[in-house]
Amino acid sequence: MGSDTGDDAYSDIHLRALNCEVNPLTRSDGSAMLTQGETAVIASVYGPVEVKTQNLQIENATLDVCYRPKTGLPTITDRSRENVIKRICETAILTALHPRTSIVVVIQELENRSGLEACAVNAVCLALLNGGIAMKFTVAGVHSILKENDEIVLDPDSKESINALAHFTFVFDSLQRNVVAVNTQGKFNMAQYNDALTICRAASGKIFEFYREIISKRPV
Amino acid sequence: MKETPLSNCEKAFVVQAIKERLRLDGRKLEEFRPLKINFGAEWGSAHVTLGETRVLAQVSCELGQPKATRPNEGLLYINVELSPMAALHFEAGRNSELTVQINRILERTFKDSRCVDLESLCVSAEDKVWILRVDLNVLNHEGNIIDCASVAALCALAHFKHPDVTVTGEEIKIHTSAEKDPIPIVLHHYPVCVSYATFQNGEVAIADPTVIEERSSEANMVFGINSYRELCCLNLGGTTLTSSNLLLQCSSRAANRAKQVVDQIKAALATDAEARSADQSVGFTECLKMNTINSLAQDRLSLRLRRFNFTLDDDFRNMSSNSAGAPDIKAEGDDSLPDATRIDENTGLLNSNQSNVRWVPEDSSDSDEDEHIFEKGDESGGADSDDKDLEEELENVAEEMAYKRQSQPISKGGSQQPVKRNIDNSSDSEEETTMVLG
Repeated sequence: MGSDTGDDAYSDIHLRALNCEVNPLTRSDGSAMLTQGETAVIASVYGPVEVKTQNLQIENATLDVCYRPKTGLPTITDRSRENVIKRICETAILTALHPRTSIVVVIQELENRSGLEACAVNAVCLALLNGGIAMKFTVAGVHSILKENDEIVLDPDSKESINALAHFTFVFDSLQRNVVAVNTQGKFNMAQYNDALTICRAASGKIFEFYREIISKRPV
Repeated sequence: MKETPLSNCEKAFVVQAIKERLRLDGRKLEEFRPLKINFGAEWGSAHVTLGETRVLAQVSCELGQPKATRPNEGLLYINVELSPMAALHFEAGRNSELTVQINRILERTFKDSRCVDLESLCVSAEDKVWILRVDLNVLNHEGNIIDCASVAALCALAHFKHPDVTVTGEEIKIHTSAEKDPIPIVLHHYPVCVSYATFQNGEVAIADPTVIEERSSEANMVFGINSYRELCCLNLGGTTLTSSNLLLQCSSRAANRAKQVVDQIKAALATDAEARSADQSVGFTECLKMNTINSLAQDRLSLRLRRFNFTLDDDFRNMSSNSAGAPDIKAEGDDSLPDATRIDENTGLLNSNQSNVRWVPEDSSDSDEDEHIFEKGDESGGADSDDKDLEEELENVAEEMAYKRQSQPISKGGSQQPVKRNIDNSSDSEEETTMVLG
């Protein structure tokens, strides 16, 4: 397989069913509820809004990302997810347009059936689009796993991912399909990593296509 | 970020409307917003919407030590979270006054009424019991969180199943759902909260208040009541009630409401169980409207005035000339357009001046043309327009606009179509919809 999104690679890509509702919430400036298979996430965006004095930045908007788990208090994993999404947003959003303000992003996990981080990134991106926050590019998160028989499975459901050797979550930008963020877990070698990267990069096209399809719809 | 203060005129408006037995969203005083219940794929996860207020509930359990005073009873914790997702002024992870209040009311409704059979949660006395935890995440705050949260908590508890265990001597083995079927929780009765807001020195109570109604009311009454009409909890916040009559009236209405809600919960649970036994897919995918963008559609508007009959007699004209801005424009647009039917492209309304105005599905065929004229009209000089007819009309528009600025209310002179279209379109869709009478 080539390093870029070849048409042959593109045809046999199967992601779980993507479904979303844009602007389900009335209080926030932009929101999106996204389900990928059985994994479901709801994200909302406010901004630009008033910033706390201690977080004020003179040249940029401050990003305030909050990830809410379904049960209990946020754990270390949740804080790390929060941080990853914050960095991704910082890369994608044109924060210089709104100095001395803050952009608030809140993510609520609804159901975790594998691929939660990727789903959260995609939901945030849709919420940002809906909220009219200016961005350099849109982002798409894709999850894949490495199985015991050295096979890469793209966007597996929870059953498939039980015996995974490694998890990969890649986030790509919409311009050059460059990698914006990578999150890996488990043991793998470089060749396996590159395989996963190629497959996920090809799959990201489907997600960008989905964004376009949703946003071009007429509001109801 | 602080909560936006409620202005005096907003408050006065709501109070005055209630005095006239009107509510901003067009409901009757004792009418509730529609309730929708969805269950997630996991046991004990529920998503409840009451109007636009949304709450997500999830029950979880773990084995732990019981309290020394009650060694053979399990434990139940309720935890309400108001994250910035619900409204911007809530802070994540910090307990506000409202959080504590909601938490306490729910604890009294569910814990103190002993609706959950805690004894059945005991694994071995004085050593291991199941500790249940109900997490309630408020996703959208459009008033009456407490009712929505109580329904969500009850749904989640009724839906939840904890894993089975085997005790052999000292050892406790927790079975997975594949080994042994998980066990549902025993509920003795089904309590829900029903809240009212009172106005006019405690004389009028309105059911299921929205945010603005909650904030402009004198007091809030919350009844925790079960389907057998038994009161589990009563909370009065704000000024003291003076009439016991109102309280009794409300409690009896709340009991009827509780019965309805519990029936709805039971029906939702039955549907979910059916879907699961038939191996259909369950989960939150069901609760989203598939691949849509929501906007200011009819059922989302916060303002709807239902009681007025939209007849274009003098009364209406007088009424509209007293108020400023958008109402004027609307009235003018309507009555100077003889027996025509206009389609407002922003809101998808069909306004006809022949009879009562009704909401109909959007017909987009006219909208492009309307917009075109609007754009040209907006330049108000229209010098670069090639179309001569249009140019003439645009001059009329400019005159009309100038005249309108000088004198309000506007003349209803039989002017041309583009004038009205221009005026109609120039009013903001949101304002416009506030005036539409359904």
